[in-house]
Amino acid sequence: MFKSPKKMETETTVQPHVPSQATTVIARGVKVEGDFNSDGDVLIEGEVKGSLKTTSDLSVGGESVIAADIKAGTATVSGRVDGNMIIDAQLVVKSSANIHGDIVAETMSVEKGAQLEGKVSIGGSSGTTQRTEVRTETSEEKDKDKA
Amino acid sequence: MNPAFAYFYDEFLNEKKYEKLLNEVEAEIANKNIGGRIARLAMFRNPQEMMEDLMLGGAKNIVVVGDDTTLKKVIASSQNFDPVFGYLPMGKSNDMADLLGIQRGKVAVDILAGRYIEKLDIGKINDGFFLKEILIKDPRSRVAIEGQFEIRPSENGMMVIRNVSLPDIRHGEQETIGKLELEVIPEVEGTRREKREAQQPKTKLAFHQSRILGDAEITISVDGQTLRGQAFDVTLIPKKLKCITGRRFISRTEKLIA
Repeated sequence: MFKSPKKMETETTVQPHVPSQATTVIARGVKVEGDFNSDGDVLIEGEVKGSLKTTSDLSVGGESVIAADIKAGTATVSGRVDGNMIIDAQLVVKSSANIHGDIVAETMSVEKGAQLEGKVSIGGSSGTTQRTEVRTETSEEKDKDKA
Repeated sequence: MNPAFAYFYDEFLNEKKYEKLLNEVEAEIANKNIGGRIARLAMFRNPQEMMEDLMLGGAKNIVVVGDDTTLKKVIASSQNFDPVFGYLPMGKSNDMADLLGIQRGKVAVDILAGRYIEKLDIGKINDGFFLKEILIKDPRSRVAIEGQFEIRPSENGMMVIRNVSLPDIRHGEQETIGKLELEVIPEVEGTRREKREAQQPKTKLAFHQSRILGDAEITISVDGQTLRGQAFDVTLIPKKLKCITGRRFISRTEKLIA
């Protein structure tokens, strides 16, 4: 009878992203600066500065550093993002992710250990939107508290 | 003699070691009735004037007898004309022959006589052109793609711009007509094993237009020749070069083996 509100999952298991042949890759050791646009899947393992857009899937690898605003169909983040994110469908935030910026996504899952700082807006097309300001405790702060 | 065919011989073919191969090839040319006028490249001879003379004499097919440098030199001299190019590879540097599916010796004459003509894309770099690739090893360089973003390897490393209408079919590369391809190859440090283990997906981007830039004068290699400058505009000229190739035979053989 009562529809449970959409929850922000704290832990989830997601299949690792294996780039298909059509995936555009920015490999580790590669730097991009400017407006990077793609229609297909994108895998970032290097550095991107500026803006990053794809209508398909975006994967941000664990060692990547992105100082850009991001717009993607879906996204999986394992690395560092300094910028706002607009994701049309699902956003998966892995445990090693470090995001500083506002997030807008249809759905979102966050693994334990992920670091987020910014405003988060989830939902929208379903008519129900949750907006919240998020700041996770960093590991340095946790160590300070223990001391 | 067939007036539709004309031949450009490189100067190095005067060396004794090429005599036997040249005799075999010339005998086969005569057998196939595709013999024609011969122009011999030499230091103080102007290739543009030689080309004009041959084309105005009725030649439709210009056959380069030499290596990749000869091929490029002859193509560069044909800017006012639109011949069909053939290639009889000789000498040491014949990568283009491999990409065009042309073997050495008498087989090359069979391919020439078969006249399987393809219209190939060529790359344009400033006022010049390239057939195969541009190597960018200068660490001060970066490449701007379609005027939208710039890309470079982080530390040392290199970039390669390739004409992918000429893929290496022997290695299963796919043909992509109408675009050039940039590959960014970052340097991976460590032992050979560490490098092997660190192998990652490649950064390859297809594009129509790009600009190679440097904060100061940089050095690049265009089809093996060194160029220096601070900026190079790179675009594709689609279907510019009419060329007799043997590529349909390689494709067919690959399919039979598979």
